[in-house]
Amino acid sequence: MDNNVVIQCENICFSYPNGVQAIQNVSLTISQGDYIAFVGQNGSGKTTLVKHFNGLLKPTRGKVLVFGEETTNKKVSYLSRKVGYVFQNPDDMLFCTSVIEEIAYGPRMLGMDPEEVKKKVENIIIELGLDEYRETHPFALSLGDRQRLAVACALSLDPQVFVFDEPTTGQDYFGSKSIMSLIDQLHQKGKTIVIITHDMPIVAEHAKRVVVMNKGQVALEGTPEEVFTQIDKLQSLSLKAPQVTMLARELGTQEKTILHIPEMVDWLTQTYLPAIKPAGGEIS
Amino acid sequence: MMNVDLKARSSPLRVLDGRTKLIALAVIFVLVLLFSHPAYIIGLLAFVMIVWVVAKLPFQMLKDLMSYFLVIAIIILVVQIFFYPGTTNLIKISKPLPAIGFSGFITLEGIVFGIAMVLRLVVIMIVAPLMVMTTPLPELMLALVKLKVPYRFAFIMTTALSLLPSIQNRASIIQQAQLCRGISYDSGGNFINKLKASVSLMIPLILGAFRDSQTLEVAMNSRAFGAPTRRTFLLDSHFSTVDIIIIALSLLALIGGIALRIQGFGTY
Repeated sequence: MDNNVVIQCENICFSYPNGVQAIQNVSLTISQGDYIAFVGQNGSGKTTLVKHFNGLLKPTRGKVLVFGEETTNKKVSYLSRKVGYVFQNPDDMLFCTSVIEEIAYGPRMLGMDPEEVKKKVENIIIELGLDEYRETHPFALSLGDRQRLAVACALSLDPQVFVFDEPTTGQDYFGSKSIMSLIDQLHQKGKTIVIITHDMPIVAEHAKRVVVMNKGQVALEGTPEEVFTQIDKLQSLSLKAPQVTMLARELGTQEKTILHIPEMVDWLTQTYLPAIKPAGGEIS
Repeated sequence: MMNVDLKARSSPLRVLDGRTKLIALAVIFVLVLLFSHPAYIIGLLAFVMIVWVVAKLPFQMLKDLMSYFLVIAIIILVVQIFFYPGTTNLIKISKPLPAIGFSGFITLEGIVFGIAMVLRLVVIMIVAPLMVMTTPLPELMLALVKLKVPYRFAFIMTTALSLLPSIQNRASIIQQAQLCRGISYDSGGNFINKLKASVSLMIPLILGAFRDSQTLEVAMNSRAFGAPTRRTFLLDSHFSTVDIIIIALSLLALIGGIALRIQGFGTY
């Protein structure tokens, strides 16, 4: 097997105890350093699928390999050192009386050396900008900071892969900017990132690979360029490419998929500026 | 964790008036507490099981209930056997221990009373689903109100019931979130660690329930809960002939039971 593969799903199926078949025959490989976004309607199986990546759910058929190890007989507490998972609602994760306690809890439960835990907590607190809140009660923090703290808790177990379930839901523009730039930082440090989101501009701006889920299956997969070019196919899956991509398409950029506003500005200036520039004159 | 399921299934019990079911339920409660002879309680248990079959409730649920109850049943049995002041000594197992009120003998009366206690609890436990799993919550509320239970009290009862599935759902999400933080709830780790792990589940769960109840309060106020007028109901219910027969039989059973008990039957 390729050394770079971190998570491999081989023909996995999953049914809930009530009989709902949430995942049907999905095969997927995630490599080290990937930045993957899972998109799709509610109920399409995104969350169910990513919960297989750290053993929270075990496939009813097929197998999931995390760093080459099959998850079936592995405990989540063991796998959480390899794959960190940040839940959509940070309030489901937090229960300690101070930010420092909260971050230290996981490593302590796993029996890490107290001195080492201390050092680790200090590093994380500085890294995530939670320094001023070290003694604050987690529930006194703003939603954005609680989410940072939830990330800190996952980070404290030193996983190589991070899964984020809808990290920007319920946040204002700056809140979601801030959490996404935190995720980008983790990616730049070589971590593998998996996010679930409904926000297509975020996918276009941050992800390197997109997986579109529909009815428990992978409906589309590729780079954001490849996926967002297929506007009609997306529409049939009740999804929309970012507005800037659709606008660019209307304006006639067939040969190139535009994903961000700066790209659009570049394209517009290159295409139309020469035409409106008076000969020899300058635009002021 | 067993899932609470409040979906009212279609069955002969589903069509009965909520009041009928409440009255029958109350009668069974009284009867089961009235008698202390295991044979009488077994009779009631057999009757309730027949109703379970008629109501088409899943047997798996019965099994689940019993498996949860097993430990409690054993504790009750042991406590009764040791501490019930019986007179027919069967086996001597130790010297008398006056400090804890134990005579040193296992007595026949102790065993019988222990068995009766366990059977009583079994009946009470399996009667409750017969009510809540065959009656949609709005009908249950209406039945309570028609039986002159104050509306606020009826509301609290049905709301608490209706929140159970969502609280359970939330508990399982929180548990998953904590597993992801390296906490394990199963074996491994000593008692203190297990206790700590349960704190990680209880705190988010309770805080979440507080938050939800605050939201509920706002939602209720904004929908005129407690307005000083006489409330009307969307649903209405009427007794059918079957309802009247069942209520009559229930009351007859109640009177019969009390009469038997006064005559001195039904005790060991």
